[in-house]
Amino acid sequence: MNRHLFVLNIRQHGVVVVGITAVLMMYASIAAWMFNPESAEAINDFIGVLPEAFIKALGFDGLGTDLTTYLANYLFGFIYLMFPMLFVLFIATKLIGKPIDSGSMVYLVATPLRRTTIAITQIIFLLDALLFVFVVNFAVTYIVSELRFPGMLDVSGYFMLNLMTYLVIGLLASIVFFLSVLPIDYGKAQGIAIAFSVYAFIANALYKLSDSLSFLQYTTIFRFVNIEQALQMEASLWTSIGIVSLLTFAFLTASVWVFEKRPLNI
Amino acid sequence: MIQVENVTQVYSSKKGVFDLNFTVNKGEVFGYLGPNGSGKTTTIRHLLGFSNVDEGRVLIDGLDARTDRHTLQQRIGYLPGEIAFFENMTGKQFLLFLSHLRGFETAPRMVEMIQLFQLETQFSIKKMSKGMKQKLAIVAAFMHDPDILILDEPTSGLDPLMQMTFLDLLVAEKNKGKTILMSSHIFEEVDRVCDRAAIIKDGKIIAIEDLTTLRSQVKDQLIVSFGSAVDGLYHEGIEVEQVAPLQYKISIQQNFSHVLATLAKYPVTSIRSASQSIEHKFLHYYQESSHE
Repeated sequence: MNRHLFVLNIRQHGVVVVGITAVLMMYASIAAWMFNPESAEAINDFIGVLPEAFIKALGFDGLGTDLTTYLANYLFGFIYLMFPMLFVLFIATKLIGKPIDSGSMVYLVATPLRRTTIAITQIIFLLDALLFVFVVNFAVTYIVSELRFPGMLDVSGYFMLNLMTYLVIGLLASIVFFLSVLPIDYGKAQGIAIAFSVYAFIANALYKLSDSLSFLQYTTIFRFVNIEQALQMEASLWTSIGIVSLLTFAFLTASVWVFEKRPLNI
Repeated sequence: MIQVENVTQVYSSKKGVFDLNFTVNKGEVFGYLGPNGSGKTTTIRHLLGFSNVDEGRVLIDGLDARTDRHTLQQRIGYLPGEIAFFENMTGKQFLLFLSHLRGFETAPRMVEMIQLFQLETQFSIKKMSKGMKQKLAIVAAFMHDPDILILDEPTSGLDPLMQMTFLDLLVAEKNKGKTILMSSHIFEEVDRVCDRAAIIKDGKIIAIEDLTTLRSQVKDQLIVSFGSAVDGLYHEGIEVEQVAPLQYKISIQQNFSHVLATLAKYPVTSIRSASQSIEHKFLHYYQESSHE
């Protein structure tokens, strides 16, 4: 990894990282603050009158009457997938694909810096930026929960849910990053990345609607964000973590290899 | 020092470079000329190890430009033809960033180059004019004191004064023994600083010329007007061509005394210089090739 390039990334993308963290913090802290165990059942009753398909698609399928399941369903069914997805789409293509497209990459590859070092530095920044978003939000949610409802948050279950979501978003980031290093037009790479991400997001919402659409779960990486599986720390969680981590590693390794070998018409 | 051997790269459009062969010697300034789209930048990408050749190889001091590019980049200063910088940086931040990537706290000639080109580095790059950006790119190419310089249309966007400063710098670097390859459209600057020049057209090298030889072949020419008919001029042993009634073009190649003595015998009413430049020689290659 190159420290100077890492710092350049912070200078160029830091505002977006802080911005997305702040948006998610706002949602998380409001959700934790507003939780009311006595009215949780009433909220569930209210949600019950809304169209079932609509509720499932938004991931609010039974918010739960305890703080942990309430936060998990409120945040991780929709908000904690959509905003990090937008963040990945915004940032992952800009670390290598955009500098190649604009020509500024020439100033990195015309130094003694190895392409492998450049790619690994960009990957570390990307994964660190995502980690920052999730760690800060986990910490804020924990603090607000402890202030309002001491001891009510199932910290280990909630941590595992955050970890699993981080890993899945990390997988998405690795796929988008891989697309951006391919020797294809930058606009095309961006288009494919957006189409893939939006499809994965929509398929994740649709497969819960009916049994006839349940096959869609096998076509979206977001299915690995399984709230019940994470909170209960079911045995299958470790399988999911293993699969997602392996896929991420494969895409990132392929990205480094492709970037090392590809011609740069800059 | 730089050896380009049988380099071919063909794009899907069938354009590219074909069987390029040339050598740039140590301490030499080598011009690389050609029309737009002729393959100059493609060649330069191969010198820097950015692209994969279909055939052939580029060696720099015996090292393969593609596979040993990290070692070679320590010694190369590169000025791209199309300059794009990182966003949200001032000129100074950019130069320090490159210094750090090269392992310097501050590149050894950074301050000297900034002063030479009167570059105001405190401004955001985004707000710099084209000329300022070009100067910044020049400083970035020279500041680590590389012994090989690869320059793609280096004076593009510079004002005449800065062009002179840049060409003086090139001459000074050449005198220090630096090896320089410079692509250009501007024959005058090639004439001024280059030892040899290659002309590339449609991806093929059509000529490699020694500039010293070319300069010796260039004829000085005079356009001379006379007050009356001078039919005898054709028998005076000088090269004469009538360009208008009572007006002749006289070519001089080291026979200055004879020409002046001859003209003194006739009723000359005006003389003006119409010297051939080296540009004519190069344009001749361009035109010759397009007629093939």
